[in-house]
Amino acid sequence: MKLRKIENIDTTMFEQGIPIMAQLRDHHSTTRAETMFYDLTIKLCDEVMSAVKGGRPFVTNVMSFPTEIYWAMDIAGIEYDFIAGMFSLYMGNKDEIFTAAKSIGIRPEICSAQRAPIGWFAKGWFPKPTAIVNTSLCQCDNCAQNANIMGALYDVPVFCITRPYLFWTQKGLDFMVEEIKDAISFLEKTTGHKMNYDKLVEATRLTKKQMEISVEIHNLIKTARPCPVKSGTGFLIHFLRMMYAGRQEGVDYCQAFLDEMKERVASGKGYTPEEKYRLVSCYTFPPGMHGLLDWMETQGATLVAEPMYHYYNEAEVAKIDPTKPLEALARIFYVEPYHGFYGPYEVFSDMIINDAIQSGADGAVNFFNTNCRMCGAVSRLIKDQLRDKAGLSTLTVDVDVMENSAAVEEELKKKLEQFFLVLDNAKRKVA
Amino acid sequence: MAEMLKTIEEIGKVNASFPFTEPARKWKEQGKKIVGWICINVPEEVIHAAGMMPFRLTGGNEEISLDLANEYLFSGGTCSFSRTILELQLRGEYGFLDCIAGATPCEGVIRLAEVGSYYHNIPTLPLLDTPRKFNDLAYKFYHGEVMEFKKNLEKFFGVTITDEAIVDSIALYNKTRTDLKKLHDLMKSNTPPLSGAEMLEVLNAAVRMPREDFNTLLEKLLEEIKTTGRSLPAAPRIMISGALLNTPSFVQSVESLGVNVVVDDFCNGSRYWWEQVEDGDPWKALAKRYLLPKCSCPRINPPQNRTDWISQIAKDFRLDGIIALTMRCCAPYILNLPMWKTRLEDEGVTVLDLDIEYGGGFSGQIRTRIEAFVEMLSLEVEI
Repeated sequence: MKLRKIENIDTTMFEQGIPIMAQLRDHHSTTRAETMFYDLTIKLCDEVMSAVKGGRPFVTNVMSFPTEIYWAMDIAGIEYDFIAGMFSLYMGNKDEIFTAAKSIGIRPEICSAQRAPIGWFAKGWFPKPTAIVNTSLCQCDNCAQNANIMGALYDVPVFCITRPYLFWTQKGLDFMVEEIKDAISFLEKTTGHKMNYDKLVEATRLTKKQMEISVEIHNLIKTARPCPVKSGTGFLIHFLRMMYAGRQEGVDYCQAFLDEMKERVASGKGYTPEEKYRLVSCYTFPPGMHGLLDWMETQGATLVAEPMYHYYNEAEVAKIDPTKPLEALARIFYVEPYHGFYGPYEVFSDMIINDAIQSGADGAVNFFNTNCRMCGAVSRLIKDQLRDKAGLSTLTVDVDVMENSAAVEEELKKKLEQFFLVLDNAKRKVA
Repeated sequence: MAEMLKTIEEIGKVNASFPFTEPARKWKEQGKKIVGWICINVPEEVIHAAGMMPFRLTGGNEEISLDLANEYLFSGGTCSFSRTILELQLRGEYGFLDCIAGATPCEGVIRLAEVGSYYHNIPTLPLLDTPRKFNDLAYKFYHGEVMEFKKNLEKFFGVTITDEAIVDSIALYNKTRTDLKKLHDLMKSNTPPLSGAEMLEVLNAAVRMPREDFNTLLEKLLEEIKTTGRSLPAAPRIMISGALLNTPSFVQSVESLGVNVVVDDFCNGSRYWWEQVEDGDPWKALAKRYLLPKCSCPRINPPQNRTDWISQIAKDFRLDGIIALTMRCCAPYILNLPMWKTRLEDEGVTVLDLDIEYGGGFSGQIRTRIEAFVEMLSLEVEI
């Protein structure tokens, strides 16, 4: 099959995904913040469908695009990798979308999170956007290029924000400001909507507020015993912040997340009955493996730190000046911990080590994404650094962010059991 | 069978002693420095103007076991090119390098540079931060990077790179590009003077020896072709495309099936020599040239320039087919290939899309698929 324009776009599958988010909310949510997460995801999908049906501009983006811009330009928007991945994880159509991507030459060694949206577009299931915007994340080959394929499939214009490797330097920030300006020009041209800079100032103020709350969350994670955060929820707060950047709902969500943590701390209750193994998570826990997390908690293991999602630097957050919104957007990218994992390894290895030490972790788990060439590639380096700088053992396992089976889960349980024995031995030696 | 050219034999000897090639050994014996470089976004002229020999880090003439590299650079997601370089570094085979210079073209090369500098003892200079697009902003940014690279080299080796020296180095390297273009123009003939395998020997040697000596060899080769009138029999004309390929034996095997590989789309091939450094401020000109605005790397956004360029090559070299060698885990190439494959096929050029590992041999399924491809081309093409 060649890369040809898709003639028949049918959003039935997308619309069927929305009630599944409601089912997840009703059956899986155990906290108020989780319930809000699913409600707000549904709201965003509804906004998209309403825009598509009502003729309002709708733009889709890869992770880390500054979505404050949508809000300030009155554009509906959604992150294509997140929503395609979430829907396919829970709708059971992973094989179908990956086969569709393969049929146009996208091989399985491309990260499944970035392959999934290609599959959705190749099937014609994704709503037709007015334009597509992507980014190089910091340095991610897949994020930087998959939009070209999707743009060709739907015959819609594409713009990529490319980001420097050393993105926090003045030179890096200046470059990003110019790239953001170009992105705005592109969106003004393709959507016909003008940027409202007053709204952009307000949007960056709200994002800054989200980040200030996130600093509090991080500080509490480091100091509270037992851990007041449910294992694996870093993934949810991260995506919610990304999707609702610059919106009051995003601030409300972060506040609800923090309030629940405070309630836990006040009651002295954690999520794990007895915290035998306090673990720092070096990467992200595979979404969709709730069963494994629940099992870990029964073993007394809890993820007490997820630096990829929670490591906010208070001093850098303070530097965000909403009155200079373009520079603020560039700085917001810098402050978002997730992006650090796609830059120089020293940036994120320091985050992991600091979190491990400050949260009093007993060990580390690195469930890295097999096809992630940035985070996965350096798993040995991270393991060695955790041993040398924090005296911690690391369980390193490669898993796929989307393509995991029950067999994989069983295998992971065995590995974790062996790792817990290693941690027991280490504790006995110290005693 | 055409007679072997003497200059090609001479060039072959340079590559036979890889990695510490005979010319590199002689250079070191004179007490001079060698700077290893990874990725074609690193401006070699700056290294040359500092009085050092630039030496490109690649794999050798055959596939090697990657046991050491696999321990340090995760094999599931990292391409075999990056792991091959790391393997050679960890084995100490690149121990003759005084330092390494790299850029940030893709994930594999970034992590190779980082992991390499942590686990082996060859110093690595700060990476040149390479934008993933070509426009005025990227060009201005990269100019800053090239100037930083100059400063870093000067500081590391305690030397000064003068404007006069950089102008001279640019002239020297442009001479290489001009002569490589002349050589490739000869390949447009129905009966080309060189095989694709021989051309790859030439291109490999270019980055493994002092440039002045290489240019002399290249001139000699052009002269020898002229005087001997050497030509190969006409056959279906193909291009091999991919990230990079350093094994002439692979190309030779393809050609043994009855085709002429008349041009390539590799970063150690046409993307390496295609574009000249323009006149004007030498540092700005270097920055512009090393972002490869015309013959873009697959990583560059938007992909249109690259598609146009490949389409033009197909016309200029009158290609009958293209073998697209997709190195496993090379995300930029995988995500770029569909963007131009359809266009080329619409223009009547058959494209074979093949998965390979860097340095991999010509056997098994690869051989079978290329044989079938060549057979199909032979039926279609009237020689």
